[in-house]
Amino acid sequence: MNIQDTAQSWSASINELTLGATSAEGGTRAKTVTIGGGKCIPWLAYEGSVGHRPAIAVEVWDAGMGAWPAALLEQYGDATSDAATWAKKAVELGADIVALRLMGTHPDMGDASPDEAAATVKAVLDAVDVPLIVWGCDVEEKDNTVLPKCCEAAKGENCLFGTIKEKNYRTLVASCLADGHKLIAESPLDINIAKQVNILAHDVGFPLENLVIFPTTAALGYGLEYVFSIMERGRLAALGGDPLLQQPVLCDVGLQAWRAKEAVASEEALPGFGPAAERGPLWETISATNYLQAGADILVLRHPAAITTTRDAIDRLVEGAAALAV
Amino acid sequence: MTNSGQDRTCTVSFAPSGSKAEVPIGVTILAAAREAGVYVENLCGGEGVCGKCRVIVRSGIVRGETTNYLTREEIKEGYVLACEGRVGGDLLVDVPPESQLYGRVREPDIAELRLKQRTVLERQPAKLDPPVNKYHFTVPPATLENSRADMERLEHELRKVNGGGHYQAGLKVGQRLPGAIRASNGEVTVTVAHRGALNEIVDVVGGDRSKPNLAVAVDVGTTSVIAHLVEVSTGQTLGTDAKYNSQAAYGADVLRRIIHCTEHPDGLAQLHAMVTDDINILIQELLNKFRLSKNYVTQVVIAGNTTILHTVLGLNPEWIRREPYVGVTYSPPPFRAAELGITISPRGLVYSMPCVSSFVGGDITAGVLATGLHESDAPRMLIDIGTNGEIVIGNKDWMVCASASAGPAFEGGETRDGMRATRGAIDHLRGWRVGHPFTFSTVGDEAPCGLCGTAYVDLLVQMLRLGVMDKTGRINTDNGVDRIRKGVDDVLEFVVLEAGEKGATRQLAITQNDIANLLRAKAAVYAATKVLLNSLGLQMSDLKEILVAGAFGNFLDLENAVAIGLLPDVPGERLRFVGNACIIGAKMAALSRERYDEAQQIANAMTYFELSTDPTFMEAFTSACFFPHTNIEEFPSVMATMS
Repeated sequence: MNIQDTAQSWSASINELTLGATSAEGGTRAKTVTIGGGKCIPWLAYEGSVGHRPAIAVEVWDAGMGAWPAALLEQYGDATSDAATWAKKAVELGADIVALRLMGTHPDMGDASPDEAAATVKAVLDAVDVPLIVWGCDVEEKDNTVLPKCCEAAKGENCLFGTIKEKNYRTLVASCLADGHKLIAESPLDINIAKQVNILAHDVGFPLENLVIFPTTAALGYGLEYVFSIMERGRLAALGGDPLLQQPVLCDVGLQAWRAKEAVASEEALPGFGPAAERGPLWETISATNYLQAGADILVLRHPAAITTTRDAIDRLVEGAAALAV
Repeated sequence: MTNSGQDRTCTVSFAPSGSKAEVPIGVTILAAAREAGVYVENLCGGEGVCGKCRVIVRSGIVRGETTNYLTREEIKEGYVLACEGRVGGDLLVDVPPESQLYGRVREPDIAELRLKQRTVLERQPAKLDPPVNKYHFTVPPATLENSRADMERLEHELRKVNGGGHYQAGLKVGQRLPGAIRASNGEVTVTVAHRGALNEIVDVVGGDRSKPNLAVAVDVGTTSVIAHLVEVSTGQTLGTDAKYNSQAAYGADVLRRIIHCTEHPDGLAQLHAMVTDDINILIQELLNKFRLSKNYVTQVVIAGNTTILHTVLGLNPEWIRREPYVGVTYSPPPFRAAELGITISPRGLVYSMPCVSSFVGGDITAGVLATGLHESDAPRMLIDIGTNGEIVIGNKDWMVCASASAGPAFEGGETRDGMRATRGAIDHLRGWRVGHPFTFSTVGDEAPCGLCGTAYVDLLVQMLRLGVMDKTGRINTDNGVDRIRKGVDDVLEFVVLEAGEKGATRQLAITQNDIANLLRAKAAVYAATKVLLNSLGLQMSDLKEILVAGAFGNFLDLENAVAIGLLPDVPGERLRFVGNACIIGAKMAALSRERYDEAQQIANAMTYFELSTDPTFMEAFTSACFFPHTNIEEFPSVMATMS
């Protein structure tokens, strides 16, 4: 019996986007990372190219790590004492990208000045040779003073800055344009707003191909399937030719997974859920690998075991795709 | 003994009319104006929430609350809200143009044109044959040979001019008949009303009193009430008048008004009184203008949405709001005007344009009648932009309609300096550059005192083009435009005209909140068109023509309406503005009973599509809440001008 071939072919693909700049390109990175380029439903290599390998970004904070669960912090030992040392550790653990979150600039977590933040960015750039994501503290007014300074400090390094939102985008767009960085466009689980943020950035002169979509991330059990379907819709629209949804997608997995009570609660509090030490990294890994299936291009992770296991999953997906490729 | 403050009365004089009222101290200026018979515009009925009842106190003492609706400069000049300012002594009060009743709705009188052409789609004209007609003829005297009764002889003659069918006369007519016939040697004028298969002999008088025979067509909207006075023997429109619907005091939308009826024992009576007062005010103003008696008005044709029509007729609309959403009646017969409290000829009748469902009313039936959509070969779409945006798609074989709550933003409500398209309203804006004032036109070429719907459409386009706001509608403070400032409550606003600039009677601005309301209004309309089309499996390109109606005023700049995403982006020749189709349809029914009957057939032929339960509507609405649309590819012509 003949089974009908259900492979679809797509007219468009996800944008390719490169982070980091080598000395030849005006930066100081030893490695650059290129993501995107997929021309199929994630991993269905018989439809078209799966594109570049998804990248793992490992999260590093400049301050306020007291907010991290102890089980997670102990994995990093003394490395969390300063952002540069932490970043080195992240690279040791296998980070393709270091995701520096400037929580120390948060008014309630040290309120570091823009200059202090810029110095931190410089220090991390000096400490590691992989590309950088620089993420603000998510207090709009503060980010609008801090991030421009950081953009300037990292000029030429082709970093990924975040985030711009529907209601706050002009300042960061202007800085990233001036200093040659890429941008994370954030939307609250809404495909319409995802498009709108991209249009708004485009309207003030930012190239669509320099944007990464951050559609908001949820941990397993906390709305993951909702995010999954939003990403799926975005991917289908992108492959169908919508230039406003063809940006690579970033998932902020570590932060969300470690907010889940299942990831951190003791065995007494959650009987039947298995050993606490395994649960956290598993929660993070399962969330991350789900998003790989949804088409994530960058996964921001935390736990060493999650990093290793997710990397292994990516290896196997890439291998499988190569075997399927036409 | 001196008068205590409570008992003292004061004289409040109003300019420019010169009318005066004696009122006790402490009453509001609005109440004094009512007492003096001076109209002061208001949307909320004196609740202090619409900010439209602006007056200027020239002399005297006023007490009252402070309000957010007036700028500091205006307060210095003596502006107060009439509903909040309380009389504290003798007063001289100026009613500025923006607060006066009216001025003509500036609309070319296309009604006669339409009647001659018959419709937008150019059908054959209908013959002038109003539902209430007057016939002048002579009844032969009774003789011993012809000793039929007076009524029989009258009917015999009447059949010669009005045709056959059943005739019926009430007792009053019978009582008047012998006197009338004998007063002028048998010469009589008989008023006959069309009631389906039945002809009612409404009145009979001696002599030739066949002219004038007047009709009033009324578009009773949720936000505005518009009336046209028509001489039915010629089809000529004598005058037009408009005001806000006073029911707005009990809610901007129909649902809130229904709730008011449900929750207050007098609720329905209040709403009925308010809207019939509005209708009576308009009729009286029109008659005064032409020095005509109300006795000449034999018929009123009402076109309104189902809920509003219920309130006009005093029918309880409660079950419109409750599942399964039914009204009392969608096709009411004509009623005696006197029974409804509408003051025309005591024997006159009120006809209602038939409704389709609880949420698609006689206004849309009238719109279809006016445009002739129901006779179109190819599918066409009619979009009626009002507080409820109504959409009809169809042709001579089928029609589907839907209704979406858009709000009153394009009708002068929900916008701080918004007003109806009346005297002094800016109706079009052009050519603004940073550092230069706007070029604009106003209704009646008078000093600008507010912005009407068409002006907002133009303004939004200018603001988008110049980057004064982004596509989400957010005002951009970064580009150094000096006309952008923080207003009341730190809400951003963009100043169109400073007070005094180019004769502006006050500062005119668009606020961030105004933009949000306009954005939602346009999104509701567009989303409704999309969902209705999708449900039919049709594309915009399948429509031969999109007819755009609404009480916008003179005309709507269609290109700009597309640029903000109010209307779909189809080639210009397929988009046509047809003006206030509702009132045109009502007038056609007032001039031709054949057309009135046709409206009933239209109502029967339409299928109602419920948007609120459609799972795709919310998604369509959210993606339309962006200028022009999140799916920018649906607006290719706008895309082309952007790059």
